[in-house]
Amino acid sequence: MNTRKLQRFANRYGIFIILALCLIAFLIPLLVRFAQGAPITPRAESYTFLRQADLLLEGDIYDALKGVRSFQTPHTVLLAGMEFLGAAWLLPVLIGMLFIILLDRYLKTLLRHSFVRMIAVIATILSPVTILFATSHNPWLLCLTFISGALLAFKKHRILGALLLWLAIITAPVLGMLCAGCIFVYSLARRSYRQLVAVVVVGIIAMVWYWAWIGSFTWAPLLAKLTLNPHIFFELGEDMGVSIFFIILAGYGLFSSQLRKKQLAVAYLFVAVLIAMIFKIFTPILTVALSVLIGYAVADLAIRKWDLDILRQASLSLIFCIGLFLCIILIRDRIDDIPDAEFVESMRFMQLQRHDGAILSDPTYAPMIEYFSGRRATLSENSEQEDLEQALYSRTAEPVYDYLELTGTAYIFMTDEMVNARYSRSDEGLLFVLPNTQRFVLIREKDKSDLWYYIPRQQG
Amino acid sequence: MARRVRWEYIILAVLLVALFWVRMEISAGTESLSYDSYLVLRSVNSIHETGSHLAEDSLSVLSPARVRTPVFDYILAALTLITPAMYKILPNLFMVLLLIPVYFLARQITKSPAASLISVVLAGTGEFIFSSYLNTPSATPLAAILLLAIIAMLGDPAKYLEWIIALTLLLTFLHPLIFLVVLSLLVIILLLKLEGFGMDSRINELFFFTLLIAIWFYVLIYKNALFADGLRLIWQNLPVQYAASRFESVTLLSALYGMGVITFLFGILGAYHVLFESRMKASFGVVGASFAIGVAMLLRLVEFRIGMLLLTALLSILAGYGLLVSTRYLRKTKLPWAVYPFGIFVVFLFVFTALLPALSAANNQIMQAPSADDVTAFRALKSMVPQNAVVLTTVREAWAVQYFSQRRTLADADFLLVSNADELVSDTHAVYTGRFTTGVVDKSEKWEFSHILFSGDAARQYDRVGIQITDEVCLPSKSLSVRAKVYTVACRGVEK
Repeated sequence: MNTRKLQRFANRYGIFIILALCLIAFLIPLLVRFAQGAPITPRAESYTFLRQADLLLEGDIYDALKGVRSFQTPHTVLLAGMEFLGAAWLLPVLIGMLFIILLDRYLKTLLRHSFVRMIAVIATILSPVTILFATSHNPWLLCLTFISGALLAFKKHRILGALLLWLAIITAPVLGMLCAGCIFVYSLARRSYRQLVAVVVVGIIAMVWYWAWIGSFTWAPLLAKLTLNPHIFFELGEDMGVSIFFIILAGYGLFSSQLRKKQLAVAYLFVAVLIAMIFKIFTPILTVALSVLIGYAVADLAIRKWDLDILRQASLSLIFCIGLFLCIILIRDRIDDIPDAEFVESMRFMQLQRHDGAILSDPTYAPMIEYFSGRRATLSENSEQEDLEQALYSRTAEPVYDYLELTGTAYIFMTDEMVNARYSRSDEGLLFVLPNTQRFVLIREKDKSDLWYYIPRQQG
Repeated sequence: MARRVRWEYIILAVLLVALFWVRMEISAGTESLSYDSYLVLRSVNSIHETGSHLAEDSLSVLSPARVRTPVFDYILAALTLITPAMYKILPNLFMVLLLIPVYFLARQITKSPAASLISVVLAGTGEFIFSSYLNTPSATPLAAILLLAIIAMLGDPAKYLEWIIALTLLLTFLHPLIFLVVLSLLVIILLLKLEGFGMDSRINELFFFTLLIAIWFYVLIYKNALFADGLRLIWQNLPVQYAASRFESVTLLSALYGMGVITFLFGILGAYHVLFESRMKASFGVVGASFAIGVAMLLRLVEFRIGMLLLTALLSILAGYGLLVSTRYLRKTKLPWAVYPFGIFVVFLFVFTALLPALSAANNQIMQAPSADDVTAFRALKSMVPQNAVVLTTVREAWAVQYFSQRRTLADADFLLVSNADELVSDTHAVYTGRFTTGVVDKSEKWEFSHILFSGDAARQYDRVGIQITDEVCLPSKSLSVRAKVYTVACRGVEK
């Protein structure tokens, strides 16, 4: 196929294909979950933001369950607004589509070839991280949408660009600052000093605002957590990872494209991969960069004749199959994601129990437990390792009792998923303590989960 | 006018037939197949009975999902309809047919029928080729043929394009050895660049396509295992002690011993000559593949046995060329007659460092198969233990026990998706070597097995005739055959 035909095809049908794919990839998982009776929005962390939105709607400044002040970001404000309208579940889809449209508009200013742009945007849609973000509540996609808007606005309306950048940083400070850093480097390379100054000023204002508003935000705990984690591949089990096919196709795109400074591009890409290994949240930026190179790769495959041309056609068909395969896998993963109907049923059951007290379960469940049951979760993602050891892994009953009484825990909620993830043996920690002591009473047994009540020692 | 049959083809055919006959004779030394074969046999039986391969194995407690490519099982299922002897005929036939691409690759490099035939002899009698797959129906021999055939056709990719694509697809669906083809293509690209031949865009195109299809197919098949086990999938999620022996790294000594002195030394000489003296482009396929397999073995990415098998075949090709170069060199010296004592010396070395060790290794392989006594015991197990029992066996014999007794076993050699493989193996070892009943009962409750099989394989592994505990109340035993017995775990642990 020649270049002109492809351009014409992309110009004529590109936007329809992109919007259709957005709807399929972002909406289908949610609709299927709804049809299955599960809560529409997947992933535990979504419920952290939904709870914050609830608190905002109720006008509470303090989170009574956690005993801390609740802080609102543009994302939670938007979420509260959508919840007020009764369509909170739709927010990530809408943000996702807006992000994709803005990205398409921005790439239009960078890439002359509209077919390359179309493929780049399609690759971004079908990436694990985009589908993950566009189906669950999180501030990162909104931050990226603001960034895309800022990049577009910087071309003509610098003040609007600065405002959007500021919004991006206060929505998600770490990702926002990383993106600001990228825009800084880009402005430096392009010698666009006004943009550069705007980025620095906005960055400083946003951080000062954040400090003044949030008060507790410091870089120290974040920096202390940073390590080089080489597991960035989706296929190796990293939810927020990059697909190996993206790397292969981007590699092909890099070497087949007519980019002028290939060595520099390789260096940039290498740095981007390193940053993504340190900050997992940088993966979307890496994904967009790889998607652009995939655009070049597919355009090259579609246009250039190979010596073994049958292989070129076979490769193109294979890339189509890979796209389809990725899309199906990602949609299925989101459909199977937590929480499911049984989980919510158990939480509603717990809401009706007469004994007060927190619920001990997997730390990753904490936002869902608090959202659905209205009870405090004993362990959360921020819990210390010592607490986990004492609560989940101790085979001796006394330390477990001590911990449960100290934290005011009344219920223990165990799921198959938690058991598989946390324990390698059937007689480990709580798995041993629960059935072998007299203080735990099994009050509800379902297919995939058990609920136990703990009788405190002072009750005899 | 009838075409003349070339003499070298007749000799090649005679050699192949002779080798096949010898292999079949050795393989007839035992009635059983090797321990590794019985999972394939059950899969073939499943195909015969239900039409689909063994994807969900009800006889495996810890790894019921059998994640593997079933193409070979279907091929075997079709051929065993002719005769069950195919279980033995097929692997031996494929191991012999492997020598055909070896011959043509050697012809490409040496341009000499005699040297090519020598390569075939060296390859066919190499320890790892001669003693492997004598009684093990496996996809590996066929995959090795495909790999070598692809490399042979890389000499003229435009001419054999359809064949290369067809074989690449077949190899992809058959065996993960396709990744060695990808790695070989990458090394060939680098070699061409380093040697100043420039980029051969056809090889680049083939590399890209093969890489894409190989990764896609295996991600598709092993998606769940990749999510669960991550990169440990490369080592089949084997427990450390098994992985260390199966994925042993290649050393100079192991290469010398495994391939034979002639193949190794003259193979290296041949590789040096084609790379630096004659700079022969046609040889880059063989050299590239040898280098790729060598590196993969050093990094323990390929099973030692499979890696050595392929390296033997490839280095034999180069050894044929090395021998040719050496004799030509000797003929040019002032002592041209030295070529005869040299030949005798080579034959002498060949017999003592390759042929005899290969025969001995082949006999050892046959001895490793389950004995008639073991098979009797496995069969007797069916009537001795109830249908829902879970039997603890050694890891190696589990598939055979499942096949003959139709009873569930706790652990077998398939550790994919088993989250606590190391612990399982160490606990199994603890049961066979433990001195106290309570330890065995604890393990029985932990892993939920009800019987312990002590067979010939356990006797060999632990060097005793039964478990160390004599407790007729908690662990009553029954004899299954002359050497094998089964213990029933009759007690439960104390409630804590």
